[in-house]
Amino acid sequence: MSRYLLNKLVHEIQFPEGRALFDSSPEAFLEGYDLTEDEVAAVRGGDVRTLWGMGVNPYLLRVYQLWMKISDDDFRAQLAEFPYPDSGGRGDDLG
Amino acid sequence: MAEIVAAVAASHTPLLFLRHDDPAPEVRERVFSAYERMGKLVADSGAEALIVFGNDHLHSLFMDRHPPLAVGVAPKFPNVPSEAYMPEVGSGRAGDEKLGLHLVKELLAGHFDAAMCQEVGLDHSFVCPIHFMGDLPIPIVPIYQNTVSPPLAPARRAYEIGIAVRRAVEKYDGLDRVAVLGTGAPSHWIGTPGMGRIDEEWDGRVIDLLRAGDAKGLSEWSNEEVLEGGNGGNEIRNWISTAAAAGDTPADLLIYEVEPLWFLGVTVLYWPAGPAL
Repeated sequence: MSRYLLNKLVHEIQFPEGRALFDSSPEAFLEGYDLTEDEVAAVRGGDVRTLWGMGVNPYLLRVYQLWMKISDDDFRAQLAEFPYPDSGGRGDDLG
Repeated sequence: MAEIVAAVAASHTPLLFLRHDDPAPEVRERVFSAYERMGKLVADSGAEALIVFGNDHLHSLFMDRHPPLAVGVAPKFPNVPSEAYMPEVGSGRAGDEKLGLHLVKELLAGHFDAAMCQEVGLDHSFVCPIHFMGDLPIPIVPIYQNTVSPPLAPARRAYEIGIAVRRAVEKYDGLDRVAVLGTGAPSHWIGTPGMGRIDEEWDGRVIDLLRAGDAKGLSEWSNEEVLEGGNGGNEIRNWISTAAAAGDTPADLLIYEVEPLWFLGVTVLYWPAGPAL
């Protein structure tokens, strides 16, 4: 799936309607995004390491973290393998 | 014709709500009293409207059509529904749509392609500093600068936008007194590896330039130099616009308080209005 569509998906989870659908019927929510099984597992499972690697905008990832109730320590631990400090200056290319 | 009567800037973060009571009492006292002082400076200026240079964090504006520059033109701006984890922030702010429309027209006349947004929400970029400024019953005009979704405009452009907004205000006959607020910054890392890092050295260089009345010098930093302050450091564009609107006078530093629990060196600045640039 494209980086843009992945960002769009995470963006939708921010909103009450999107999150309600994501919580109650994740299959229906994820339908139409053309995700692989691994990508579905990452989105459903709070796998911020994979989502970061796929290019989710840091601000969206932060809100996703808050909604998924992932602790800051767990968040940082999941991203520990990536360059430090990566400023999230990504998106100048299309991914 | 209207004039700029006060210009202020302050950091923003949802953590000021989510971890409001977590830092030491003396830290909270210093920080929140600085926000209140900022609010009093604006209130005492007699400002009838508040222009806010801020940045949405992909709540109300998204990558499907993300404008580099946009002006909210509406009588009311609701808070975004995606930040309902901040229940204390109320239900939105009144907007001055006449002033907003005037700014759009003048920005266009001055060769800035400002998108006009007639239905747009406020996220913590706007809500946070205004909330902590205290009772300030004047309408706002939110100006959205993209600091979150690259590619970003250079900081130089933020300086020029500030000058253009000042000129627009001085051609406006609907009000007499207008204040300006720039929100965000200094360095912080949000949603990235090393989240929570604070770069006091980078912050010091930014603040020193503003205290010297040299936002112009700051505006000459490349996008890469700005990004050295983290993805949140990109928000110095809002400070630069505010300083330029004030005439790039030397800023007073009301507070710089490093608080790791808030992921920031929380900063509040005030510029006395000087001659237009």
